[in-house]
Amino acid sequence: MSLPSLDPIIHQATRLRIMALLFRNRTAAFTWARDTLGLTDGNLDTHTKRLEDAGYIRRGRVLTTGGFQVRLRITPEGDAAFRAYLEALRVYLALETVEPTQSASPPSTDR
Amino acid sequence: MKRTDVGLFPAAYHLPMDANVHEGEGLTPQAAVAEIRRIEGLHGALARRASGLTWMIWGIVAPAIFINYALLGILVGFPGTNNGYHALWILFPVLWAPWAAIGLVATATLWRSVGLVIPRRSAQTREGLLTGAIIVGIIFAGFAAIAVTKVPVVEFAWVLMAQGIGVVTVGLMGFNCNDATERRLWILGGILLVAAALAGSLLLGGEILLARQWFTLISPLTSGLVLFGGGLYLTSRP
Repeated sequence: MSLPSLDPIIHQATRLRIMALLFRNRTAAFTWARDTLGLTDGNLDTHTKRLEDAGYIRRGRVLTTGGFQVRLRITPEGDAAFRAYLEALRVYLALETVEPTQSASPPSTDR
Repeated sequence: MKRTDVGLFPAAYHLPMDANVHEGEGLTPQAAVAEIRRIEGLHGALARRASGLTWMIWGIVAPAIFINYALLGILVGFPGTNNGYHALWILFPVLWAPWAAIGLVATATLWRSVGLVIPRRSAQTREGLLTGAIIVGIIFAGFAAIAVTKVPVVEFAWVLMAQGIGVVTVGLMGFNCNDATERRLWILGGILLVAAALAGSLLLGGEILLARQWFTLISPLTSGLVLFGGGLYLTSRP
């Protein structure tokens, strides 16, 4: 039985954390996501752009009492993609338990 | 010489802006699962702390209401010229409202601050308002029943018990709960309030005047300790 493919856009440590955060919270302030995930502005910016290009998240600016704030929001496509990713992970791990001789490395690459 | 000189930094010249992105860095599915679980916990921690602070706010507001009513009782009973102080009787049905408004504003401000980074679901706001409505509803329904039946009841004891019944009801309905521990705390906290009211009533029930005096102390102290202590526990747990 073949291993399921993991979405290469999501299956990257930093983007996975961003998507997991937004999947749970739906939306988050850029600065809070940066501090919570322990990322730099540039790193978060780069990865969110990649996710935005894939249509998984949207970035917007909202006016708050403290000035303009950049907000990240998961899109319905991103939500569906993350659910599919979770399902693929489940299947992958279940298959790996059955077939322990399979390679432990993920089936997708994103180089 | 400029830093961007190609001769000096040939590799840097071609470095893309997203050079700090390491693709395909060997993330195993097991590591991905661990990472997802860790992120899940981040939301919970912030929401739990905000819940704990909400409990602490009401742990101050609830005793304040009791103390305010006790002071009004003294004031109304105070012999004044032409019984002028008795006009303050009209404050009894509404004296709780400013304190409840203070608690509501403090709670809303807290959750709005939390909402700047983690937005609340609209259901949570509904649950919060419903919680207040349940507790206030039980208190007033009880007072209406007491007025109709004319049973001698210590007012503060009933309010403490009604608070407890309301808190248990909210816990059983699963409102305002981020996890099972928080739900258990709602139920346990409510039971403690009811138990204190029942125990006090049974011990002092024979003498209504003595019971009234004691419950002026018991009710604010119990509600303060249970709500503030519960909040402290919620904010301090890992």
